[in-house]
Amino acid sequence: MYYKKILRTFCTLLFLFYTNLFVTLSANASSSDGISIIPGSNLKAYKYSFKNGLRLIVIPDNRNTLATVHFILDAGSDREELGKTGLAHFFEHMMFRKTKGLAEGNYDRVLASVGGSGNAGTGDSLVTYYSNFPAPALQTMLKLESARFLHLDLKDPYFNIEKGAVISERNLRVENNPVQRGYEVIRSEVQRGTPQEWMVIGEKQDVKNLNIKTAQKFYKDFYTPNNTLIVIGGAFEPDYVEKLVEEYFGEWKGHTPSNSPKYPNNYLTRDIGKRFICSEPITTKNIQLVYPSFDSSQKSVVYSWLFLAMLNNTKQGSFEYRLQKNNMANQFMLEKVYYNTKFNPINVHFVLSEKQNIKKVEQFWNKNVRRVLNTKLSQNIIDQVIKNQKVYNADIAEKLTSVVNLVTDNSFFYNDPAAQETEMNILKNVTEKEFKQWVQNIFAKKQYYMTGIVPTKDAKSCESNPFSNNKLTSSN
Amino acid sequence: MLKHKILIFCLSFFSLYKVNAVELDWRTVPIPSISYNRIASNGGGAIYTLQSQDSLKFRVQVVFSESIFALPESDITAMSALSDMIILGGFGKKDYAQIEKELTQNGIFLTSSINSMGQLTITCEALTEDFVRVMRILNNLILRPKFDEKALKIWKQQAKNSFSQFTNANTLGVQMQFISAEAAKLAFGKDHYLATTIKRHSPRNIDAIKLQQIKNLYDTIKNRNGLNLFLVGSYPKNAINNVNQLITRIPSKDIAINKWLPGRLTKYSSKTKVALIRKKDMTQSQISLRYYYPYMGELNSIEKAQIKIASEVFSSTVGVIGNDRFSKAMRADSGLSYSPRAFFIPDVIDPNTNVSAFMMNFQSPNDKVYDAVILAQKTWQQFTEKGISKEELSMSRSSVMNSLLGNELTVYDKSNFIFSKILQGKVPSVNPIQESLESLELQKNASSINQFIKDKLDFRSSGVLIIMGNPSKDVIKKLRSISSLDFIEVTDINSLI
Repeated sequence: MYYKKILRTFCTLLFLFYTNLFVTLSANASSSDGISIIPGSNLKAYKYSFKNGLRLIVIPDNRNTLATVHFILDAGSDREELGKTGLAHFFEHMMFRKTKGLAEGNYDRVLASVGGSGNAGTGDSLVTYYSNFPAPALQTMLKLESARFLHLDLKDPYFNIEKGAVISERNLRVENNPVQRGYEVIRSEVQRGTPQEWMVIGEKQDVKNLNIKTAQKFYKDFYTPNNTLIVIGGAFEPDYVEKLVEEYFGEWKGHTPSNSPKYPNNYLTRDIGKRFICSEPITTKNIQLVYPSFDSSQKSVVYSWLFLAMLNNTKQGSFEYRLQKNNMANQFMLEKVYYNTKFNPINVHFVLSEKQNIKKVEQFWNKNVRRVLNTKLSQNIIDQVIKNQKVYNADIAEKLTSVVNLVTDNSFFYNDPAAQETEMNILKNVTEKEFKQWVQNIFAKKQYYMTGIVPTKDAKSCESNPFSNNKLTSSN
Repeated sequence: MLKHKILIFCLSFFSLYKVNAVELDWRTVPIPSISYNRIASNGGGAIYTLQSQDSLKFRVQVVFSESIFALPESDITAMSALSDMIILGGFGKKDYAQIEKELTQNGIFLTSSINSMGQLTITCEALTEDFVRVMRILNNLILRPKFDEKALKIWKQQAKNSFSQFTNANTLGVQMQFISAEAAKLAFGKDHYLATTIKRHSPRNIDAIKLQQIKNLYDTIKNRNGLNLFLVGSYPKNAINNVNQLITRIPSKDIAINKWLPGRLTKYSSKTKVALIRKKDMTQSQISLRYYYPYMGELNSIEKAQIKIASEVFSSTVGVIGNDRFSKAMRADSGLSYSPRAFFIPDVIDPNTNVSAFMMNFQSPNDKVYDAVILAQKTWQQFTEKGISKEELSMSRSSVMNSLLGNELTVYDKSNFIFSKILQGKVPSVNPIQESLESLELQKNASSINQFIKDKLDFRSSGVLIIMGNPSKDVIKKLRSISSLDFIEVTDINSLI
């Protein structure tokens, strides 16, 4: 009946393929119960894996007519080598241009035709593609995605034209931003001899020199099923989605070895105590204390939250507020990195005005770290972090796109779609002894180095690469 | 089994060189209207509610009626200070450190700001279980703020540091703020409200603020007459009583009347005025070409659909890289610009809505600014003179309609839409998506849209071109030779601070 109605009313086009959609939508539900992904909500994830190594997670959600598809691949810039920097990011751009047998720009036209939108992003250890569109366009979108993941057509003139857009992006994000310019110089020094020595966007000259053959090899090596996770959310039966993915990606071939980038043996200790500070024409001091680490466990992330909660827990206010009140710094941020393949430091970031003093901030930081080291982990602190996670989860649960984004991250980095639940369990079961041991290992011995981009009068220019002879500059 | 909300599509398989428009029967899709309530409160206040049991949290928003447009222009900076100081100064029996601790411990999100209508707005979001706590916090904040000298000193220090960081103009967002202020200067005059945004927050203006001035301002603003309170999400049964009690504790005075609004644009010009903001360390220029329309007036629903489709053809909001006219010219075919974007704004001088604008933002290498400007002008000119094709209409119309059906609106998004209209004094549509779909569906004739483009976008405009970057003297010389441009000035960024 539906078919007749559709045909009578709308079908002026040549090819219809709604049949499969309707039949399968009402077919068998997944026999699995699914994995609860957000504590407090009813949302569940269904995991599948295919013979060719491809992994799929489906998150059914019928609150809206929107569907979302995320691809995440271990094909970030740490898969590059010197001389070919920026390739992973450049490749991400090329994925939107031409597919074999189809017109250039087809991806965008089809996405637009169904009223969808999307984008992509490249990091040190990943590349991700996502699109949002009305749910009934799922089959169209999977067919479209399959075409570019299996049959990308890397050719000129698009290859060369896209270099111009990438260089424009580099200018926009890096070269027009003195803090990013300085960061590029410092990064090349502190990450020397590692795959993070260059920025994700690459050296300008390397981007200009990229050729089609190199890009084709990158595609063959890293755009493979066993290197890819797909997460799909929307008003779908999970098994229906699995069948569609099998149909469009089942023939995908290729194999990528797991990524374990090489780091120098003394990498974690070689720069401890050093300062990498240079200047740009800016009016603020951007300082970072870096505690090097290869630990990307979820436990370390949760412990960093507890540490931060303890750091903030004084009668005089949060750590940042005390910095502001004492006119020592304007901004403070602590982040435990977990999203790199190997290098996952704790970064402590400060922004100071021109007159504020770096040494005073460093002393204040170390004094407060000692205070945390000498304070007992209280149940109040644990409860606070649990409550904050509850609020975070409540926010995420509001939107399917946020849920899918989070599950994609959790599955890719922790191999755990239910990482939100795991975090709660870590918090509920944390012991004073284990937590204190972690804090002791990270913070007790001042095992950090300092990086900084400061105003011109305070240090040598970043442009002159003041670290080239290991002659480090100092600043107040 | 999942309960599917079925859209009926007839999709064409994408063919070799042509992608057909996708037709869909949006009328089979249930689009429930937005169900909100209004409850009058004693003394001239009003409570609006939009409930959702699916949500795990709630939001309360209190909007005071008195806006900056009811105050002397000289009080605008102090109003910004007030919006921060009402929290930073502490309230009730607690200082800021104690308040911060309570908020952090309970994951409560509390902010205060000045909305686009110039009104002080307090917003609090929390888990449903914390409703009583939030009400206690709001009672203390609104009825017993402290406004102490020490807090003002910290605020001034922070505001000046932020301003200093802002003046580095390192990020695209900040660069666009400089560009917008300069564009307003050329279009509306140097003393216009929009042209003086940066100056208003300069250290001199910050230092001039006195504590008593902030206290006096709040005494004026603290008025339940005309106050709107918005309650959204999952809140307890007695919530309305609780918020009503809060409102009735606020004194009731005469309602505030706006005494001025940002000035109107009364002239149009045949030449585009140009200003260049020199920032020597920029390796590529950020450019904005804007056409202001002083006589466009309020658009009806059909015209809104027409401008939506026309804008979509020129610069698409769906897709990724974009096969639209502007992206194709500036990026896909030329590689000049990473992120070219163009859009129509119906009300540039919010809340004074008599001026509309079409804005084109793009980047260019410094040595190619001339070519980029020529290309942008040419692309715009072809669009306004020749209009759009039948194919473009068909494709854009259906993609915009489809995108409306693929939306993801939470109860908070819906409330933002409804409540912003209420604050503007307009009656909100309770089914804005259906209204847009109906208007868009009627747009089947390219020639009527092209007539609209001619009548509205190619008619009596005031053009402004702002370039921020470091093009050479030769490039500037070439720009000066373009007959349609009226080159006004080259200014170093430091002179604008």
